[in-house]
Amino acid sequence: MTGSIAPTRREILTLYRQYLTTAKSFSSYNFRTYFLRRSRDMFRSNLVLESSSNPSSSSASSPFSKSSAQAVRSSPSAMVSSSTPPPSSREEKVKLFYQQAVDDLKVLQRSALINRMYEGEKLVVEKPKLVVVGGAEGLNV
Amino acid sequence: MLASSIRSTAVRSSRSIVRSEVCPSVASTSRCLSTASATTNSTTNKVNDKSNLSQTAQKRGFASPTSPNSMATPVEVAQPDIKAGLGSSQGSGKNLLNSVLSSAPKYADANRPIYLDAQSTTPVDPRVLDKMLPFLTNQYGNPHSRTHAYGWESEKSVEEAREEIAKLIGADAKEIIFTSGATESNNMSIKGVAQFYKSKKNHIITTQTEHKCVLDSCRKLQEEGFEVTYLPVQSNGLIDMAELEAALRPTTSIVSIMTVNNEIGVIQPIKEIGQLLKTKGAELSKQAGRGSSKPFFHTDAAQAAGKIPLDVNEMGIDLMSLSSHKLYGPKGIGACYIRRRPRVRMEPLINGGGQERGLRSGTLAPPLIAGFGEAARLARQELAYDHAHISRLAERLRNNITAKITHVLINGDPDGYPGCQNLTFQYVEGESLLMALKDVCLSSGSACTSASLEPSYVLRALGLDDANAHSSLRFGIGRFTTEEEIDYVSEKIISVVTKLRDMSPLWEMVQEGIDLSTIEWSG
Ligand SMILES: Cc1ncc(COP(=O)(O)O)c(C=O)c1O
Repeated sequence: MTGSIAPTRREILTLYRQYLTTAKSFSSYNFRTYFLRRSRDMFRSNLVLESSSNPSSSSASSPFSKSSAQAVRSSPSAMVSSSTPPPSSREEKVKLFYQQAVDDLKVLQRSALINRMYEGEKLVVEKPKLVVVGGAEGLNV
Repeated sequence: MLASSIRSTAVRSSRSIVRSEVCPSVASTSRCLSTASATTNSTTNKVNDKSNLSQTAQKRGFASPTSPNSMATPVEVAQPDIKAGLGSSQGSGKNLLNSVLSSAPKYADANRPIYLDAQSTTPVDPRVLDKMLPFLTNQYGNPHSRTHAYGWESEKSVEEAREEIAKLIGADAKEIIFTSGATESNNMSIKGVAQFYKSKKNHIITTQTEHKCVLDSCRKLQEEGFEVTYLPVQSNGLIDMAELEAALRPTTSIVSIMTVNNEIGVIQPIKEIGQLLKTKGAELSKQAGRGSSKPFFHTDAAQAAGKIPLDVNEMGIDLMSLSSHKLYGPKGIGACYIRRRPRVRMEPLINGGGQERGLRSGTLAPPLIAGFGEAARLARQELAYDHAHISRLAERLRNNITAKITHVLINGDPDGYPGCQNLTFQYVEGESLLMALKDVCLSSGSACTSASLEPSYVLRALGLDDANAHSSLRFGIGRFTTEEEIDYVSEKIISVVTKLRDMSPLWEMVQEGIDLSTIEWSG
């Protein structure tokens, strides 16, 4: 970690975009939606929340370990035991987060590829349907 | 007791024999040694090798290399001429990826049912699969092979996984024994401890709502002459601590009570039970005679690990069963936590090569174990995030359903694990309900154990009558369940239940205010 420079705003956003594209490329509905949700929450809770100086968010032990804004509110963050000691400064924290996120992206990309190679049938909820404002109406016709 | 300690010494000494036979000849010795010091200048290598022989042999004896890569390179022996044959150089594979992806099956229709059965099993997390694949492709060594790099790298991954699993439950890695799953861990714990201590103690306590594999193990022991107390549960599924206390005897060797119930999600007061066994249990055991330990506390945490925080020390747990496929890991692997201090002794179920401290012989499965370890690591990190998501969905499901239909009973304790929702739709035949819900994978209470259509014994233990037990469904919500799915399922349930009730004469009577229990059914 020492020696490397803190990621720029642009680098972080690029990485975030890569996460979203990778998550979207899963063929399984459940994995796709999970990784999209997870990636969003991970980046938002690490970057958006903190830049608005929220001190309550827990330290990063992995990009995947970050609790979403919702999770932090609805459950004690002490439920996640962090193995890494809390980074000293905000800059260190972002740096650590970024490096781990870069590593984990590789795992996610390979996972998406394998998932694509063994694509399965689509779920009933994926049925193309007229989009009805408000969600669950229009189902079960 | 004596027999077992003899056995364990035998195992140990047979291991050390293997060690000393590792490099029988000088030539192979120097080869092996040089692997341990790959960076040493090769001309001085031979001399060093001989003078360090005993030292290095000792070092090698432990065979837990920290950097298998460097140890795998022979330095002393000249490289044989490489005769490159056909296939010795790798192609670029440039078009492979596109070709594979474009030929992957494509499905036009969307008919696959929604999976809401997280208690019976969970999908393998893609990140877990990624961790497993190297051990299903290149790294195929036997983790018990102590003489070469293939073995070491497998062993290393097994030990890393063990560490992760231990961390998930606050244990030490040495206390984790790999098994084939929670069924085996339950059998091993209950039978193993009961058999080991049977000369002094012959009593076992469990509950009526345990998983079949616990109940069946107890039944087997009963046939062999042990006495078993099956504690009843209250209508919310929790045991009554006073009843447990009253059931304790000086001869109680093991108490087995599950952490999270697989049918109703009830979380038993594990910490209180652990405490009771340390106090009252230990006191009673003293009466049984000198050297008698407190009753051991076993808990089946297959449904709890990775879902709620667990700590074996804080909770006073002596033995714990874990299953990988309930926490997004592969099927066919599990673990048993066995406390070392104070030590829990047991008879192994499976004898053989002495792997896993002699408690569970047989070659370990590195791909499955690596997956289990990664699943445990993820579970620990995602616990709060997953729990919040699952709680939200559970609440949504309950609200959706109860807002639209009446006479729905929520079984189990309201403070149970939210990922397991057991609902009774009164005056609806459970099987017809499942039949009509063919695009949702649900389980009626009993389906977990087998394909039997008998009403669930767990629901019966809560005091539900046959009819209500028959009309119950279990909704298993997990990490990958979405809001959309919950809405789809609740819509479906609402319309199917309404339709079935409209056809039911019983429902008509209920609507008219007739108390069904007053009716005399004749003929
Ligand atoms: C509480 C409980 N114990 C044990 C088991 C069996 O686990 P395994 O399939 O790993 O043997 C299950 C799963 O059905 C379970 O829910």
